[in-house]
Formats: sequence, C-alpha cells, structure tokens
Amino acid sequence: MCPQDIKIMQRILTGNDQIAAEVRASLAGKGIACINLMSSPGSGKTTLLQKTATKLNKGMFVIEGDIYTTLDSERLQSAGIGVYQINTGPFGGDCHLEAAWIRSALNEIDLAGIDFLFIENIGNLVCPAEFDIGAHKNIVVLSVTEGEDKPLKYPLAFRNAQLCLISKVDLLPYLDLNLNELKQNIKRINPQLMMIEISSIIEKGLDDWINFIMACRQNAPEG
Amino acid sequence: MHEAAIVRSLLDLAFQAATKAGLSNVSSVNVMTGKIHHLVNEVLLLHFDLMKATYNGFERAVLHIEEKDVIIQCYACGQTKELDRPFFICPNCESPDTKLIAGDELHIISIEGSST
Ligand SMILES: Nc1nc2c(ncn2[C@@H]2O[C@H](COP(=O)(O)OP(=O)(O)OP(=O)(O)O)[C@@H](O)[C@H]2O)c(=O)[nH]1
Ligand SMILES: [Mg+2]
Ligand SMILES: [Zn+2]
Repeated sequence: MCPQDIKIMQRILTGNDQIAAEVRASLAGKGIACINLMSSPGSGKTTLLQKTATKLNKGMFVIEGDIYTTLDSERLQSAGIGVYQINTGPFGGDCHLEAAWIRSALNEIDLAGIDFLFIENIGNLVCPAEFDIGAHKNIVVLSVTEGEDKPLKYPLAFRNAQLCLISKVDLLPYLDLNLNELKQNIKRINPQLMMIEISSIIEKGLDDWINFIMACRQNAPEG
Repeated sequence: MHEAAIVRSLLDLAFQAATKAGLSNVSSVNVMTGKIHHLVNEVLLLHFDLMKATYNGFERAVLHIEEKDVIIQCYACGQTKELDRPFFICPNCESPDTKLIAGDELHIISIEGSST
C-alpha cells in the first residue's frame, strides 16, 4: 500500500480533438472545405442545404447526423445531393457527433469531385458545441421563432462558431421578436461573430451565404 | 446530455494513467470544469458511478469536481472580471475586446490511489 498522487493535467476531450485535427488536415489536403451546421431542432438546416445545392455550382456532399431517422437524408437524396447518414441511435442515442464518427464516415465516402462537405449536426445547441468534429467552419443556425434569449442560454455554441445564420426571417412580420435585441445578445456572447439573415422560403441572404461558403475554400481553411 | 461522453473520455484517460503508473486501486479522479461548459455535476457523478466498474481498479474511485467561474480580462481597460452571465463584454468599460482567462476548463487534473 503506497498512496500515490499522479498528475495528469490534460484536456478530457484530447482524444476527440486529435482525431478532429486529423480529419481537418486530411480534408484540407484534398482541397475540401468542411462546414458544420449546428442548431436547435427545426431551424431550417436541411431546407437550407437543399437550397444551397441549387445555388452552389460546386461539388457538395452532406453528412447527416440524426439520432434515429433517415428522413433528412432522403430529402437531400431526392434533391440529388450525395448524403452519408450517421445515426447515433446505435451508439447509445447520443445527442452530438464526435470526430471519430466523421473519420469513419470519410473512409466510406467517395470524395472525388467534392469541394464542400457539409455536416448537419444533431439538432441540439448544447452538446454538439462541445465536440470538435474536424470542420473548418462551425455555423450556428438560429431561427427567428426561437426568441431573443437563446444565445444567452447556449453561449458555447455561439462562442465556438465563425458564422451565425439567423434563419426564417420571412416570418418576422408575424412575430413579436426584437431582431436588434437578438443580434445584441449574439454580440454579447461573441462580439466577433459574423451574422447573415436568411430565408430559404423567400430566398433572402442566400447570396451572402454562398459567398461565405466560397470564401471558406479560397482562404486556407483554419481551425 | 453530453456528460456521458465526457465521463467516458475521462475514464479512458484516467485508466491509461493508472496503468502507466501501476496503480491498481484508484481512490479518486480529480477534474476541473469551467462553467461555460453547462455540465451538471450530479449527472457527471451519476455517469462516473455507472461506468467506473468497467475500468479495472476504479471500482472504488470517487470523482472530485472543481468548478471554475468564468473570468474575462479586458484588453481596453485592463480589468479582470468574474462574470455571472455569459456576456463577453467588459462589465467595466463595455469593450467587446476581451479574453476568456478562466471558465473554459475541461481537464483531468490527477488521480490518486495505491499499487496493490
Ligand atoms: N418560414 C420558413 N420556414 C422554413 C424555412 N426554412 C425551413 N422552414 C421550415 O421549418 C421546418 C424545419 O425545417 P428543416 O429544414 O427540416 O429544419 P432542420 O434544422 O433540418 O431540422 P432538424 O434536422 O430536424 O433539426 C420545415 O417545416 C421547413 O419547411 C424558412 O426559411 N422560412
Ligand atoms: Mg434536418
Ligand atoms: Zn474594460
């Protein structure tokens, strides 16, 4: 019996971070920009990806994260978009994607001709924000129906993002939402965060969104 | 909800360290968590107690959590402030030019135990 105190001092998610760094470097090496979309359920991610495919004149592929269903994948496939589905259900119904799953998905995907890899993360603003999955850009999508206070409730998602899409702005006339207050709350959490107001229905902000995507590939992808 | 995944990674790291140091009987696992991570301590403890039995030598281990407040330093006025809300605007001069200096921790600090 000799009591010992072993110092470790390591990030708990260091294993995930290492795999994420590998994924990021490997995609960058192939000239592919990887974009991670995070939001609460139903913010309009899949609809936006469908629209994006009609506007973006480049090879795009989508990795879909869902707890159980393949509905989103079917929607994208019927729009002619290449999709790989990750169901986290078999892994224990996890509420987020991890880098290891992206790495194994990439082993099965034919990336020839792909310029942009989108990852639709699981609809949840808390857990996905914690896990680096190897994307070059993290996007948080917040729909105007969710209320002004959401950035304050889920700060990490907004801290870790490089762009916030404020979605469904076509609904603003019907809502009692103070858009300025919403934006101010986003700025309080992440003063540098870029914002684009979009609507997939009335096609607002889509050009700015496409420009943002295109710039992801021109600029050397970053962490 | 992501507490389970965090505890799994934590136990993996702790187990590696225990194996390397030859600890066969781990009594405590010490971690530091920043408040920005929205972790619920009760949930961490629950998952830890559920999972530890599958790691040899961790059957009697106890998880100790040191929570860290969110602290920012302002580049404009130089002040260091603890935040009670996650606003990264300086409470003193309202500059958005601030740096997070504590509260983002998610670390395993150490393990304690004995060999045999
Ligand atoms: N008004 C309006 N509705 C939209 C817009 N974009 C999507 N929707 C609707 O919002 C609902 C959810 O859209 P999805 O694209 O499935 O949202 P999602 O984020 O992929 O949802 P999950 O993957 O389930 O989290 C659907 O009924 C869409 O028709 C928009 O720009 N404006
Ligand atoms: Mg979807
Ligand atoms: Zn200041």
